[in-house]
Amino acid sequence: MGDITMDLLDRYLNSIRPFLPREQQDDILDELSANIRARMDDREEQLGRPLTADEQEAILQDYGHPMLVAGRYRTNTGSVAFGRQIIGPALFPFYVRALKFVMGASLAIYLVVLVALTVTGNEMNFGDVLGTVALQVLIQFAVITLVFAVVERSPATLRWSAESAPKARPATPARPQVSRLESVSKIVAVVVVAAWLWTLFAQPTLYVGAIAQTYHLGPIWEQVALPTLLIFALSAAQAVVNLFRPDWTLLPLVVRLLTDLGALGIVLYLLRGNSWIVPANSAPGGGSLASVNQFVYYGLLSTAIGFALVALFNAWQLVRAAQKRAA
Amino acid sequence: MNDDILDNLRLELRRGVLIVAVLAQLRDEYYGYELRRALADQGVEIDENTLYPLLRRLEAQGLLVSTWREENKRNKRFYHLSDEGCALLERLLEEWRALDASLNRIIHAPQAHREER
Repeated sequence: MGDITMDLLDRYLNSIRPFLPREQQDDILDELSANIRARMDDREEQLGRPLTADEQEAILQDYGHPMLVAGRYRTNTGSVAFGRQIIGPALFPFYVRALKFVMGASLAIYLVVLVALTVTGNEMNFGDVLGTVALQVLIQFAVITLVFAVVERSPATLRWSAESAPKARPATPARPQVSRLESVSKIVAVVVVAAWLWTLFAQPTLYVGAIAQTYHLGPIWEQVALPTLLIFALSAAQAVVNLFRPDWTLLPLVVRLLTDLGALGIVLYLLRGNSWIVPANSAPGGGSLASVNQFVYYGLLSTAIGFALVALFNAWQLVRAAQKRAA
Repeated sequence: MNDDILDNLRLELRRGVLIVAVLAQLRDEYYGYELRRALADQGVEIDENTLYPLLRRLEAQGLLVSTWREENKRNKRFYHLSDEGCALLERLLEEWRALDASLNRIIHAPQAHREER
């Protein structure tokens, strides 16, 4: 086999590498490389001539998209099937990761809302709470499953192209890269969490039931809606960029710091207000409303402190990474 | 007939059998691609993206042993059945024969029953 084959094969293997478990990357790729070369040798023997670049690329495309090939080597190789297979074992690890992130984030937010309402003396019916949580979990599960099912059924989006693949296999030791698994999961998770937050503000009845008829969110929340959306957009944009440039390892650290500072700014702006929760038109305010707003104040204050600490930690990590790279 | 249903049932049917076929073939030593060809020659087609990760999983379970060796100026990973794998294969084959016999009895029984009536 000539240089063209080596180059194409190396590019293909290089595309698979970031999706593999880090500790097994070299071992799996060495074995895969030997098997693919054997298949190419076999084909050359059948044809009685060397393979053209197109024929070599066709063999690699037949192997499948690097992400799907790597997915088979992960340990949680389940699948989702309702009568017929919806999400295959190759995409399954990525699907589980996205589900965990989205459901974890939204359940945490939901828990805070529930605790706030309970602490401030708003009685919640356990059945209603359970029903609402179950509905949210179901909606998020359905949305993420739908997104991954569409990807699973779109071979064009998962077609490997030699032109888009990295040109050379990294020299040893391999340079650190942002895992594409992280980037794909982040894109799906950010979109779903943003959509979920949006409906939380637009349709609060869906989340807190009858309480929404007594209290409304104050107008100050509308003023921070756009900046919040921009923070999500920035996170999603970083994940998209890292999907194509996984070697830009400083980018996620920079964006994380920016989003921490942005979130801190939003919370500080919210702290300037004092009517975060207002009574609905027909309902009287009273002491209960004051308690709710007092709780929101302490919640925002502790969130601001949390964001400030996280921002400091991320700034320190960014400086360390930049120093390491410079060295 | 619904092709999706047929495909799913065939997949279910083949899933367990493929592992037995791989273990049985690996009583002799093969490397990945060579094993795939040997299985295909016997009429057992298996996708490469299924076979190669399966070999690693079976090795992690202690059923296979692998060694890297040079052949035709190329380094290849050769697999063969471990002692534990041999013992397990024997038991799986016993199970397979018993199932095969039972299935044959089931397949032929209704016909005889109808004829009696």
